[in-house]
Amino acid sequence: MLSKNERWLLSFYRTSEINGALFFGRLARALRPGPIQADMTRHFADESQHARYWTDCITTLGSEPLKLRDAYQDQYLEAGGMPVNLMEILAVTLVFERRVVGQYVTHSKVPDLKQPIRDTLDKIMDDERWHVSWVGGALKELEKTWGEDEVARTLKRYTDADQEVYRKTLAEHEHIIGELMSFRAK
Amino acid sequence: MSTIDSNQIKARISSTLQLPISKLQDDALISDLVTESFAVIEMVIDLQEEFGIRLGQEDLKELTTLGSLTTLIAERIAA
Repeated sequence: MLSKNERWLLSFYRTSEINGALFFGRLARALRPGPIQADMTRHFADESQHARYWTDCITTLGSEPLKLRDAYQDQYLEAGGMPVNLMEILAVTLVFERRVVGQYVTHSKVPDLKQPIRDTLDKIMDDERWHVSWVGGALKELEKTWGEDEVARTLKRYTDADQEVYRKTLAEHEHIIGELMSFRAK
Repeated sequence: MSTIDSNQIKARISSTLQLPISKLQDDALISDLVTESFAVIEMVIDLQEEFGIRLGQEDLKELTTLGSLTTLIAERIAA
């Protein structure tokens, strides 16, 4: 059985995966043919699968996903500004995916983690590592067009935004995330 | 150097946003036409991909009307 806090956190993950899928799906539709179009299409398909995995995980554990609207990455626009070109899209995506990997790795270290949650995290992590890899590679390639400095500045802007969003999210949901991740203080 | 007129750009925007071209008047505010942030992102990315141009933060900062956006796009295409 899931605790109230576990149900919320897994539902939050699910909502973020859904919102990611919707966003990347729109981008995949807008991109011209080429490697980035192909990888973005796979990326969006992965995110929608991840939403399905979290849904299945929650129901396997005897509960149902909460209907949440707000996802973690939605706050990036306010904090870091709207990305207006492909380079900025990839930069914000790289920052976000690294955050996701970090969070999922931390969650996987929770003592006595329920097996369906562990299995879901393991399954998703394989994809997330590829996400970081392809986006990082594509962004590196775009340095030729945009310049190394411009890409570095954009990454810093979104990294700063992510740190602000993460701080706010932790503060807002301290009673949930703090309880679940309390093992880190020990 | 290529030339594209604003009607072709509006046709593209109409397709992306699923809005009738009749709504895409030059003096229409972008914020009135597109109320969702992700739709704005999709629109600007689509225009860059479709017409092979690049836009930056500075380009879009002062743009408020559809006419100013189509003028910018046309100028970039012609450059």
